[in-house]
Amino acid sequence: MTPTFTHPRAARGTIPAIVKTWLGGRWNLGTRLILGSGVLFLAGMVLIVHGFMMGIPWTPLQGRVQQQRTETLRQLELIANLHKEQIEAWLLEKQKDIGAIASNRTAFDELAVSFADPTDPQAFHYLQSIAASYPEFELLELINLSGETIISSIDGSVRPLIRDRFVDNVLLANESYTGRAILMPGRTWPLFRVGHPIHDRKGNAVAILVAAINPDSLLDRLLDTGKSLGETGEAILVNDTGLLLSTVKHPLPGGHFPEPMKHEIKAAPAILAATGHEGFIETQDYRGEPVMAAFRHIRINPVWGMGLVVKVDRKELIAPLEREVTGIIATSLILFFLLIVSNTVMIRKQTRLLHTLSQTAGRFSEENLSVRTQIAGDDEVGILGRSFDRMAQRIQTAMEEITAEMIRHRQTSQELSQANDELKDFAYIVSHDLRSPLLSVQGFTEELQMDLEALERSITGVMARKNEEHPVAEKEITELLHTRIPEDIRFIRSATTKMERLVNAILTLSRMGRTVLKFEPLDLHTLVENNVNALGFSVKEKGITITITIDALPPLVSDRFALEQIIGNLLSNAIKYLEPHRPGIIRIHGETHQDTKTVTLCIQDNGRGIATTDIPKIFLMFQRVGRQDTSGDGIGLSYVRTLIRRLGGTISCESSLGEGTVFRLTIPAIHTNIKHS
Amino acid sequence: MLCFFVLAFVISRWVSISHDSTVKAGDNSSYDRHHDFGTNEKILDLGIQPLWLPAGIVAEVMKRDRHLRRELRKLGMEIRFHPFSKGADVNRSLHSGQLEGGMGGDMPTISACANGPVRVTSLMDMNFTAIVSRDFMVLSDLRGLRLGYAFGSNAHYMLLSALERNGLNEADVTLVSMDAPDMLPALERGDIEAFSAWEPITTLATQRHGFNVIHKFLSTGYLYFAHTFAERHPEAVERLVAAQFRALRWLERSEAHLSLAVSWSTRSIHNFLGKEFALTANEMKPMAQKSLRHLWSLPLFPRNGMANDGHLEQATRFLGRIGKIPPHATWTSIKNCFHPETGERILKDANLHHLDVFDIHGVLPE
Repeated sequence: MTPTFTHPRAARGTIPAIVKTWLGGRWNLGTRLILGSGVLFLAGMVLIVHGFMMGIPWTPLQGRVQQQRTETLRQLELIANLHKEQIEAWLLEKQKDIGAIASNRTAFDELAVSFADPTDPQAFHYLQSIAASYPEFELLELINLSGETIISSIDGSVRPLIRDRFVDNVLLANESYTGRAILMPGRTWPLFRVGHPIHDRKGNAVAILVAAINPDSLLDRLLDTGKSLGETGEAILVNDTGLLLSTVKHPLPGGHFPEPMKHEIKAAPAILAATGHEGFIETQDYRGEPVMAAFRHIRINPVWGMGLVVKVDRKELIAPLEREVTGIIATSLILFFLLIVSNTVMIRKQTRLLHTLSQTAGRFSEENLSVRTQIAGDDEVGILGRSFDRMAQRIQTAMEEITAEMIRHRQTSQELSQANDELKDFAYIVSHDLRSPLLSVQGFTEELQMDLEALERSITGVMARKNEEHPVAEKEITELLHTRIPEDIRFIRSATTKMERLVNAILTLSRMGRTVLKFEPLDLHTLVENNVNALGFSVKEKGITITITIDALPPLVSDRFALEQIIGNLLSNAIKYLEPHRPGIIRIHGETHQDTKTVTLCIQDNGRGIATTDIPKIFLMFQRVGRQDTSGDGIGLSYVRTLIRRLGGTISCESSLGEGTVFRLTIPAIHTNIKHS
Repeated sequence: MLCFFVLAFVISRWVSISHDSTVKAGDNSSYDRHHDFGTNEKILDLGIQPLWLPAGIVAEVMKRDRHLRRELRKLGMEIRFHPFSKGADVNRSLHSGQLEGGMGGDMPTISACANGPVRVTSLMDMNFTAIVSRDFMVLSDLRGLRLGYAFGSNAHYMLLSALERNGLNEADVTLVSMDAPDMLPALERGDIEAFSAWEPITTLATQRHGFNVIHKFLSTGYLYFAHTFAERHPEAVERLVAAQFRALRWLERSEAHLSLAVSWSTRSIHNFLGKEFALTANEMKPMAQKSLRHLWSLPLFPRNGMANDGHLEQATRFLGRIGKIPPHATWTSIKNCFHPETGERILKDANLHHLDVFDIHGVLPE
């Protein structure tokens, strides 16, 4: 079973692991690059959008949210302050109005009659005329110091006014005083009460003039928050308990609109404003809707005040930002899509090249060293491809050289082994062949010794029998001196001559091994012809036909002397061992092998041939095979083979006994390495 | 070497700010000075706050009210005014017996009531205390920022209250204790990001420096006396409250009066600080006018504030919750210190108390 490795994070089902599982076989470099660039782009866009919206921490750069928030807060502040001033000015104006009326001496004169007779219409008409002059005064009443209505501008009837500390406060203030907003019977809108004491000519307060003022003109302006706060912008006025004084723009969650003076606003801005706070807040309004609000407290007098809230829905604040973000996101998505498409195209192209590179590397690793990526282009992949190709080329060249070197080493090894064997044979042959004449010399030397001893004895016997005839002894001496001793000497000379020839042959071979070869461009055809011509006498004498067919060979670079020696020897042997009973034919044929860059030269004869069993012996030193009817030392072919080896070539022999022999020698066309055998 | 000194400087600044932020009760103002307090009850020592608008202006008029001095002389008494930088300092002198009366914001007044018998007689101020920040923000944005405050002042408690309302506490911000006049320079230097103070410092911060008021709190201020003094010398207390009302009426009567009083106030602030105040008299005048408007309409205790669950009771509960007043101090006990009838009686009998008899030093009698 093949062991599998699972990354620890993959086992936990991380996003990359899930994506990897989902993509299966498509989880390749291209997919990873596309996804990676996509994720990077999205992350970058998120950072940019976040920075754009929220600002950059630790820098003065504010985000759009903060800018919009600040802008809105300033706008809310502006409107809230404006409305506060409007309300304060409006109330001050009303106070001044009622103060001016109440302080007017005419008012006292006109109204004084009612103190004595409340049914007198004079004061009623006076109040009505004033009320007609001030449209916002819904009601004008004259109240005595006990708080009872003396006369009213509406119908002149005497009716009790709502009792609270309003009268006391007017008297204590001793000037215009604005009381809490109230809801008059029969009305659905709030009315502000402004009172001012009426003094008699001695300066004593005798009554209070009270105006119930309709704040519609104020509230209409109040509700207009301008365009800058948008559709949800709203201003709300509450009294000091949070009771709504103005109408509102939006319904409550139940769908109905809260009514002024009947609904208490519980939302934080209204409560804060009502209880004397001013500021800004981000909270929920009376509907429960998130809002940004500026709240202001309008202090009417130390006794009571009102709360003013100017607010805008957060969603309206966020809306333009959402549009901006939507725009950015839409643009980002388009860019993202374009990025993915362009990335896919580019990355696919690049990964295809990488795939080619990968496949080429795979085939290369499978020892197909000739494969190349052939990737063009100046980009990194192109550079990588070319680098790979160069590297492959260098590896291939190196491998070829190594292989060639190995082959050569193997050949050398074989040659060495062969040479070693031959050396052994040579040692054996030399020892055997030299021993043979040596034994002859030894034997005949002993024979000569004995002959000399016999001669001595014969001569001593003769000398002892002077004057006697010794026919036997004389005969023996004569035989010794004329036959046996010269024979011994002849045998000894023959043996030593043979030994000399053997030693000379060995010296020749030894010299050949030490000869410095001189390589030069050679014309093989001319070289062969020159050799044939050198043997002209023998050829003519024996009536031999020599045919030379040599291909158009490229210039052969080799050692001239060695080749002449080789070809001369082979031709000489061919001539020497021709059958005398048939016309000799020698064919010389040469050809070039482009693949191995070698030249093969064949020398074929129709001579006596060599027995198949003798062919391995013919290149051995001093070995002669077949009929020994010609002179020779058995060193010629050994000599030839040694020379051919030195030239880096080989020689082989094919022969049929009685039919002829073919010697095929192969040598490098251009010799680059000198061989030493 | 340079880096070392820079680092040392930064650390020293941090340590100094950190130290400031840990300053607790008993914090002394750097504007404390020697006061020539009287040695007996015949000398009425009244603590005032020159840096408090409009109470400081009213106090300047009272200081020059020769009718008051005549009335007190009839009682065998004289009055001395002693300037303080904040209500907490006034309270300390009041409880130590150095002062017979003083002026303070609602929180210091409640604190004074909680720490000893005090009689609160009249309304000195109805104005806004504000939180001012360098940058425009809402209160929740104050988290993690350094906030300047005057320990024991109305603004201090308002700040804590505002933080609490927005879900923050003292641990969420760094409170840096400092005197009110030092807040603006500290905000300019960047030592703090916001501060809590009162008029005219807040207006100065917005109008002169363009800083932002991010929260305002309607605060009140009161005139109050040591209970024992008020028990023994009710006439003197009445004379003083009447002088306060008289001063208000005098200020309301003419803009020239207001201008004059503001110039007195700026001079007094200069003397108190020992340096020129940043606001000119012309700048202070409209602020004073606006602040005084509420007092001119009716200088009595705010009925809302005195009501149950009104802002004074809420303030009492808040101070109790944060441990700034003793546990035994309840709203009932605090409420008993407030005596609205004193002011009401004086207003109702305006002629009797000569509220319209103006004899101000430096101004021709009317």
